[in-house]
Amino acid sequence: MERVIEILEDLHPEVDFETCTTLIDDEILDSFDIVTVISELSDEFDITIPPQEIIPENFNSAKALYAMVKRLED
Amino acid sequence: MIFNSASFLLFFAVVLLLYYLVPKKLQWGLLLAASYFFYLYASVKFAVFILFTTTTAYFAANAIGKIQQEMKKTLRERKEEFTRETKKKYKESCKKRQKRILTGTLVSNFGILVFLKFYNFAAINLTAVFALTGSEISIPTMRLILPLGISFYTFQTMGYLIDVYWEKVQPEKSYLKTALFVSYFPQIIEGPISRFGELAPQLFEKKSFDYHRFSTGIQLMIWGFFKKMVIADRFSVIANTVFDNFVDCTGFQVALGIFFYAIQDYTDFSGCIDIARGASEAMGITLAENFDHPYFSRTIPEYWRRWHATLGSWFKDYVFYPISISQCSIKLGKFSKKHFGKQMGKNVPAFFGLAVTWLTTGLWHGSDWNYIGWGVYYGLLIILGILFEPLFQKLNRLLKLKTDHAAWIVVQVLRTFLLTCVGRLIFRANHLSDAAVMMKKMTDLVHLKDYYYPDLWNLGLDHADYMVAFLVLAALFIISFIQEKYHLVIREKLYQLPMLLRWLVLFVGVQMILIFGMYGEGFSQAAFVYMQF
Repeated sequence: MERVIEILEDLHPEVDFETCTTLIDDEILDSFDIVTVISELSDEFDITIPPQEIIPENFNSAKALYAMVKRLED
Repeated sequence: MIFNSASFLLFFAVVLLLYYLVPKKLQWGLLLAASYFFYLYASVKFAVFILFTTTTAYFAANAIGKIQQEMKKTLRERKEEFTRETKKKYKESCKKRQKRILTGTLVSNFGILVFLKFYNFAAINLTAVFALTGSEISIPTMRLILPLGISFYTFQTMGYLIDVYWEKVQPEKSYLKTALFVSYFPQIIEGPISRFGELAPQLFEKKSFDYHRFSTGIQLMIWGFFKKMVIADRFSVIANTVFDNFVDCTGFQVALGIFFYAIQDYTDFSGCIDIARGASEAMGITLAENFDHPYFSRTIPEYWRRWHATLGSWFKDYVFYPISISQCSIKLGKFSKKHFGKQMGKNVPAFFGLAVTWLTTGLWHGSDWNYIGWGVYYGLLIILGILFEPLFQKLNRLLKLKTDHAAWIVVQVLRTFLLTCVGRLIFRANHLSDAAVMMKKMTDLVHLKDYYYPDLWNLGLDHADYMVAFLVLAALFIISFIQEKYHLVIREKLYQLPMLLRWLVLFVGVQMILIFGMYGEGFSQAAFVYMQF
């Protein structure tokens, strides 16, 4: 989870990723950010994130992102 | 049967009347019959293409859906028997079968589109290349005509198929319902490009007459007709004169022509979408928004989220993301990180995706070098914007710029508008080389005196038309500004007026179109700009 937050903070240091649950709904993450996050997560956790996983429910919070990573690791 | 014709108005009035008169369970069937009547009215022989797309998408979606169902059933039934490894292998083999069906359908459908759009372009350019090498090989060209709406319905239908493959939507079991989703008449000409999950349930559900939606839908249609017939068709006169006779135009006239084209393009396309959305709304169906006052955008990426948004969203979901997060892009990112630093490692996958996306967006519009140049222009603008963002932010801090100050916002909006005007010049010019000459005319400082004198009277509009153009442009700006600043839905405000007053406003709107609209004897009725794509 810490690593996911680190990756996100690297992109937007001004956002509190511990509490924010509207990263997509409030347009905090744009499409460029999403690609960067996926690229970093794939590298970090050695997973493949397919395009169908790019839905707001998976990217709206650090917690949701981490849950997706865990699911794809299994 | 284009929207701004008496035949369409009669057709729509009959469809609307029947839609609410027939038993509710027959409503979607009526829409299908109306959509095919609308399509066949344009051309009977081209129906073969839309039927091919419908049929292949129907069978492919259901075949993919069947494999998914089988897979889930097998995994459930043989849960105990499967090891982690065998489960993974079984899933992979199912995915492979689905992928084969998906790929075959995508290749055949996009193949037809590419062939019809690019065969002659490829033939001409290859022949030219052969001639350069001294060869006399000449590839013959063919008389190819694009079927109505093929770029729009192909993208919409293939988006549906990919969504089925990604398990975002269930495949439609009824062939006829699939046919309606592909051919739904209000959006077949110029979009918007809808998503199956959003549009299909609305098309098939039973609708009762809702006076509110009927009324606001008709208002939206009137606004669309006003934009098209009073603004776009008037502004197109000067735009066409300038782009077709730029050699004889001064730099000032060229700039004016590009400005008029910018207004024409927006009001023409968004007007058509308003008519499509209004017609749908009158039948209780909500189509996706395609425009959100794009000329108030502060940056180019924002502009593209607000202009032709359904195409941008299609490319984002089905081209940009899949390419940017593909294994190839991720590897490219790792390579860049190793050789060019951490930041480039992060940027490169998205840059690769952006480059492919903008090249294909350019090609979607047509087969000419200026469309390719237009795609490259926007791709470069966006990539350079991302690359230089840290520098711009540093400069802003250094100059102590208040980036949320109204004056700075105006500067950003004007800058973005000017950049889109350059894009429009590349896009609309008859050839890429023409765009270069026109640009030179506008920026030739050596002959400044010769170029910059305002001669407006030989461009096709008289004094009265200029006056109307100025007034309607001012009205469009004021209405758009109010909507942008106060997020007002003017139709809803109108709906709250007393009925008599509301119908008076609508009556005046129709009168304005009848008095100031460009139609009738001596005027060649202009097709919608995006129909050709």
